[in-house]
Amino acid sequence: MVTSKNRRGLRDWLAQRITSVLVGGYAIFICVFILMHQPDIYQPWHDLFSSLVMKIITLIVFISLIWHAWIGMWTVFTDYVKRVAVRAVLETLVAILLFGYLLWLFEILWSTH
Amino acid sequence: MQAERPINLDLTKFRFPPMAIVSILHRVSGVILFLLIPLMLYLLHHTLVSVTSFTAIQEQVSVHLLMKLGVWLTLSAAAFHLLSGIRHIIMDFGFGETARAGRYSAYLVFALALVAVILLGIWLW
Repeated sequence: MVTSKNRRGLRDWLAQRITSVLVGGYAIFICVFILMHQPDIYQPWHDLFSSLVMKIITLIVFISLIWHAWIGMWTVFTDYVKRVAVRAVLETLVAILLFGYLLWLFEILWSTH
Repeated sequence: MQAERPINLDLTKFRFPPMAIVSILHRVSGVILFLLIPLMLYLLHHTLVSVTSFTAIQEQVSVHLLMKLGVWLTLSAAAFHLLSGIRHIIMDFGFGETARAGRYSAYLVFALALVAVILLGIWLW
């Protein structure tokens, strides 16, 4: 996926800004939704996540989240873990976890009717 | 090989400006959020499966201290990360890049985050 050293810094910098706006906007929406539907929130909550539009938006936002989290964790490891072998293991672990979380979200959303 | 030079980097002896504190907390809150993603997915899952499951989750959060703390930590970390992230992006656009503005915006982030954390604590307890 990465074939050039030259653009990666710019790409990651831009990706962090764009993904943060998507995730932040979504988080604010969820907060407002929860506050607006107190105290009986189960039905509206369930209906919200039964909608296909919401499922798709949630997945797009979550993919943004995992990209954002990946860049963040990569930065942290690059700053503090100088031993390449250890860092490689940690980065692989984080990548697997993030991808696994995405698959879990698919299951959560598609088992909601 | 060069001779070993002395390193003077005792972090406990530094006095850090507020902007530095915001920056490191932004990083720390980010890592915390990464670690707590599974908790968020777990809560989403079990609040959607059925009414009984939803009620069970509500009970878990109100009864079990560890669960309540976990949710409070996640939401507090998210609030701080979001607020300091917004400050970050505002500075990217060129606003408030002087040291003085940076110090004031850092204090603002602390104030807003503290309000958010307290409100979250009230909501959860």
